[in-house]
Amino acid sequence: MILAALDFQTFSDAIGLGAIYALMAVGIGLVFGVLRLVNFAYGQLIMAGAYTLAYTSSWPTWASIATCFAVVVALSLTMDLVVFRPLRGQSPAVMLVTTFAIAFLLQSVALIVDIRDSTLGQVTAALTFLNEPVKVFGGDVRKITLVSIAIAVGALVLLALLLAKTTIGLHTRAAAQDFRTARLLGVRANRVIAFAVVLSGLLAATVALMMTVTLPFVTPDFALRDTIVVLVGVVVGGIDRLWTATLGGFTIGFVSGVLNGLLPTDKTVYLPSAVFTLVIIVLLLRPAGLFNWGRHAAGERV
Amino acid sequence: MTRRLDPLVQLGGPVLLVVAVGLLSTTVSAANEVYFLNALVSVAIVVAIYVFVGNSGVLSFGQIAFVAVGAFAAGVMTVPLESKKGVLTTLFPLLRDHSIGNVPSLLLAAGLGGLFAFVVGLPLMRLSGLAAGIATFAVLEITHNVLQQWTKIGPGATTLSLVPESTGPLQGTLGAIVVIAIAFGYQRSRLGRKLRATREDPQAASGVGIGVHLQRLWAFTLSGALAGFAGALLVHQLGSITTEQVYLELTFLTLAMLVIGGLTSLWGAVVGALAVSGLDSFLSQAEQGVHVLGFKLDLPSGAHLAVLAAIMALVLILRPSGITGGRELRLPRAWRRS
Amino acid sequence: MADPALELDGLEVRYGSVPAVRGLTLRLDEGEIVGLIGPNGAGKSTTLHAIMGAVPAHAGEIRLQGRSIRKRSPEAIAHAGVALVPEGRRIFAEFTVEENLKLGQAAGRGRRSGGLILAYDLFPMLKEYRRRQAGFLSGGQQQQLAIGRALVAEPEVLLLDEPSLGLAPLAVDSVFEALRGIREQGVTILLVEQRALHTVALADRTHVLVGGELRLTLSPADAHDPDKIVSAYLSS
Repeated sequence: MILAALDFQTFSDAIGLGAIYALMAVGIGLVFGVLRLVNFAYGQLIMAGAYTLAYTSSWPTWASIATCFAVVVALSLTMDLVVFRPLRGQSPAVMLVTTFAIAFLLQSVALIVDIRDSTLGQVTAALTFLNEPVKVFGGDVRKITLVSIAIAVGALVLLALLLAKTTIGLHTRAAAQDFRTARLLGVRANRVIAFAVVLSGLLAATVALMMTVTLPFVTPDFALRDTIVVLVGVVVGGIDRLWTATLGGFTIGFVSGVLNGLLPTDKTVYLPSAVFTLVIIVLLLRPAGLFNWGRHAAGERV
Repeated sequence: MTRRLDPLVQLGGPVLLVVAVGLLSTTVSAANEVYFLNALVSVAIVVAIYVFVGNSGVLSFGQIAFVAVGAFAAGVMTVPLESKKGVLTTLFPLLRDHSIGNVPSLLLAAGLGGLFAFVVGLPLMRLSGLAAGIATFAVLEITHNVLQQWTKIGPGATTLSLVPESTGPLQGTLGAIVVIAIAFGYQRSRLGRKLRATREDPQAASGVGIGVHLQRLWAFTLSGALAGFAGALLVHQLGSITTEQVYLELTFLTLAMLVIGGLTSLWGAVVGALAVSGLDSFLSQAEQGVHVLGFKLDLPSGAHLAVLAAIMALVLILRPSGITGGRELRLPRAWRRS
Repeated sequence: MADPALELDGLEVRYGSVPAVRGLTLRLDEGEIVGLIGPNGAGKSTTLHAIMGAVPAHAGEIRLQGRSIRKRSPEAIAHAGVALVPEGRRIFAEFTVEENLKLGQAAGRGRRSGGLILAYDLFPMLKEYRRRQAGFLSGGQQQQLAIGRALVAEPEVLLLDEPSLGLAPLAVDSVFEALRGIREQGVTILLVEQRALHTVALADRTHVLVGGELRLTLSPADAHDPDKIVSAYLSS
């Protein structure tokens, strides 16, 4: 009955949002898996990608996109070198506050740059055609939603193959499981971490691309709220396994999208309370994560 | 002989620092007094957070929710009656038709903060690690959302103003000292020590009969009460409050103050609050042009946040255990010979 | 005379300020099996972890074929040719047997490429179960997997940390049989064990470690003299 009240547009938009959040969840989960570090500044990587796209909007589309990817990956690797490496082995509280400080730092820098240059904030017009609707099953679906879903599924499949079939993938999975033993077997710590960081950067660039088409004006707190929401979803889903984290990200995106469409407009102001009450309930019932059966919660002890 | 001096030093150090800040605030211009009062209120907030986070080892993002509750409660109840009836027309009659004095508002804020924390803590204290962090963050979000939307208990999204500015140097200093003293008393009590045992090794602690859930709940409730109290201090210092002022930015800032000072000690909480607050004030000044060692420092506006964040990240990377290393203040070695 | 395969020279390891291993000097020549026994907490595991670089050495030297490996990272030491079969096996329960073995090749990459057959020849069971999830194997089978995993890296020196722990007697016997087979391939073995008699009978030499220090060296002949071993444990 609830689903009947849901119109197709809302439903597909919610899936689209879920797809984007799922990719973010993977990016966050990959780095957590090998470094046991929650990167609060992940959203800033996405923001950097979006800004790059905006700055290069007059370039040919392929060049703009390529530069975006290059910049984001470079920024990710820099973050690893300057922030993650010195923090390895520290308590979760220290890591959290530091990455939060970095997030704040990057956001403030963007604010300064933004004030200075009024031309910032536009994104390549070549891609706005993706905002147009297309008829699917008799309902209206925006092209960007279909593209988002396709890209997300494609990226996840690619990632799954990478992790399951390649040697570096095997080493990364082992490191996420038991880093100490993996190193004793000869798995090179730095290589595996770089692999995870680069992958997570590629995902962030992809998300930047997908998001800027739907929100053509780029602002500094772009993706900061989304990072927090995704983080909540990831922990609720189960952060210590990649697929549960991804599912968690997708779920919170989808649920937010659906609730947004379902609630009558005057009640949507309480949407955050509804979502977060749900989050608390789920965490109380399943602290290790909604999709984790019979396992213990990750990361105790501050 | 020096053993008995230890607690005196541990308490006296932070108190003396706070008194010094309070005294200094009376000597500067009204424009600069704000920075010192900010520092004092920050100390109160950060120590309140420390009472739970530092002693239990459980990361909570929700303490600012209790600051918010305290701030709005004290604020709404101390706005002068005539103005209240005219401006805040949508309030519940109980709130709209009564106003209370300064000290009662501080007590009310503490009581509500503690009550809210207790109710929230009952279910939540079972959680640890990331789950606890996210759950307490959810509490912050819900509190923010409700305060912003429910116009029957407060101004909603608009600014609550006309609150009496009773937090001057005296109230600020005394308020901070009260919070420090209670925090100190707690951590030296049996309750506090039981909780610290659970921080080091929860399994061993419960093995000797310490109820982990219960001890955390005590600390969480006390922390909530102190946070509410600090919220009242805050609203009486600013004379106004909005929901955005007691939300994400303050959460991050106060947590960073605690971690930078040193997560596991009272000294760390106080030093961190004063150091970061001082730095923040200095940087805000620098945005208007300031003289440092003969050079003129002129930061572009908005840069002070960036510099603050950068310095914080740097301190944590270079000295993860914080400025104080997470230890309490002790007499220097040379003085310890008895 | 050729460099010893593995040499410890006055090795000292501390946990904080507590010494776990004091002034340990040990020499393994190529192809030898050397046993290390002693009571719990004697520092046997710590010695192995120090050799692998998992725990920092406070003082002393560790040399692999004459070259110092003391300050290198665990993965570098693994690549140099030392393999550890850790206490409790530490296999990856959710990976298949085959994936676990492939993981063992991480250290051998670029050096040799004998392949997984090195493990399958010694433990045919592993080949049969290669697509099974490792967590479903029995204790004895998991131990075989752990040893096989170390072997596929084609190490010069094999370290074993209490391989018979928690195993049924039949499984223990098969582990020790396997070690004989490995020695025949020319691998140098340092075996840390609780089962004193088994070890003394198998190894070329067995050292008794008590309180972080070497007390006594036993030969296979002493396997018939349990009193000697017991008194070594009890001396202080």
